[in-house]
Amino acid sequence: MLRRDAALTRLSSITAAIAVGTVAAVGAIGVYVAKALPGHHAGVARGATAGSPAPAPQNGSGGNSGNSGGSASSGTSGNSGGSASSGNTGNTGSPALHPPAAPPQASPRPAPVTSGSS
Amino acid sequence: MTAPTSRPSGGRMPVPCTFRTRAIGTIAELFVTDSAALVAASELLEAELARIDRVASRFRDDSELSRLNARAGEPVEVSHDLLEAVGVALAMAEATGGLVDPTVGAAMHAIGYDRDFTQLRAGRGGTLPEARPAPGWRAVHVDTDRATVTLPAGTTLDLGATAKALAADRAARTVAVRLGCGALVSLGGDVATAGEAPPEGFVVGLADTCTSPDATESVSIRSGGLASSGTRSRHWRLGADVVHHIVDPSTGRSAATCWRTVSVTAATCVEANAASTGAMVLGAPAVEWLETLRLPARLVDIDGRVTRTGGWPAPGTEGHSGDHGRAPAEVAR
Repeated sequence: MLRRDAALTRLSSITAAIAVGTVAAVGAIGVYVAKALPGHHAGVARGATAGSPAPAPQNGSGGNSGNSGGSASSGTSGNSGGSASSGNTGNTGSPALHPPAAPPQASPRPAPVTSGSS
Repeated sequence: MTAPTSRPSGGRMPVPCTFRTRAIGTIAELFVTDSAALVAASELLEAELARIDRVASRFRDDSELSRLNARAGEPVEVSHDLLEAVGVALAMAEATGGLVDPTVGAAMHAIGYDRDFTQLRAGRGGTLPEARPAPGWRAVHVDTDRATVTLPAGTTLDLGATAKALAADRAARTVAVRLGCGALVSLGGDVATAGEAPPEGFVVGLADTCTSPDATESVSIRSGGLASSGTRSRHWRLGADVVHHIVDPSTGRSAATCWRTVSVTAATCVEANAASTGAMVLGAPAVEWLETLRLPARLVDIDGRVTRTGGWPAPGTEGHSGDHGRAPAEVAR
């Protein structure tokens, strides 16, 4: 009887050790795979906060949450040659409003063109 | 159309060569830093203007946009040009948190803006429509693989807030790349620059209307775009009310704004125009919004008080480097 109890105790310990080892091995493999295959992670996507949306989001109606593939993000800066690409070109981050490379400078010169409403 | 005019580079004008014409319901102006490139540059500009009119005009029955609007509710195959124009409009809608939304087309119709503005100056009969939000830009589906755009049934796109600025950006870039000179293109005061700026920069005057001969101040920019939005030009009488063309997507009515004119500089003319239009819609919180975005801006309220933010220089500070994006808003009469 005592021998049977001792055997069962050993078996229980072995089972527990196997369970702990399995969990540890799965965790280690997970970390390895995550490092080996970058590009999928649970963090906030790059650029997700770019664009500084307006303080009060407008136009909440009509929000089509199933439209994730159709919200075209278009390159509006840096496209040379007049061939700006448009459309959903992958995970390029949210569209944003970018400051100019340098702020405007006051000018005493006569302006050949005027900006105002048209 | 005005023929190209060339001025000697040593004269007082900051940019030596100009070309001016009338197109897409406004005045188009071109400045290049190389007089030898002016004729070719003007041809490139006119081609771009013809293209944007053919693609994105809401007032031409034969435009591609009109055909798209007529088939709302089903996928419509569109050209690369319209795909780009719609994509840019949606991108700016997202970037402004929906302040600038291309689905305000039906709202524009409802307040009477269903024809070229020259036919609206005398006013129209009618009453203000009931306040109703626009369908919303998220409801527009773009499939770039199939080159199709699907509008929800009953939705009308209006690309007026972005297409003109897009044409200015495209024209300036095309001139600079193909002809190898600095170029400034202004379409109704939406200014785009590309290529190497002249030593003094591209000088732009600021006024409530782009046709005003009395710019209250001038700034020089070396790259990117500068755009102004305001209510002084495109307003008309609708029955007993006066309305204007900047529609608040949340109400479908002319924005009840505290600003008369907002001017913004940004990396592109499209972005500058989206920011200036968004600021008009947003009203008083626009100053903080523009500061957050680090966009140099000049806002004129309905009483004429001027607020400068984001490093926009005060007159008489020539040669002083602006504290880009950090200067607190400054108000002056």
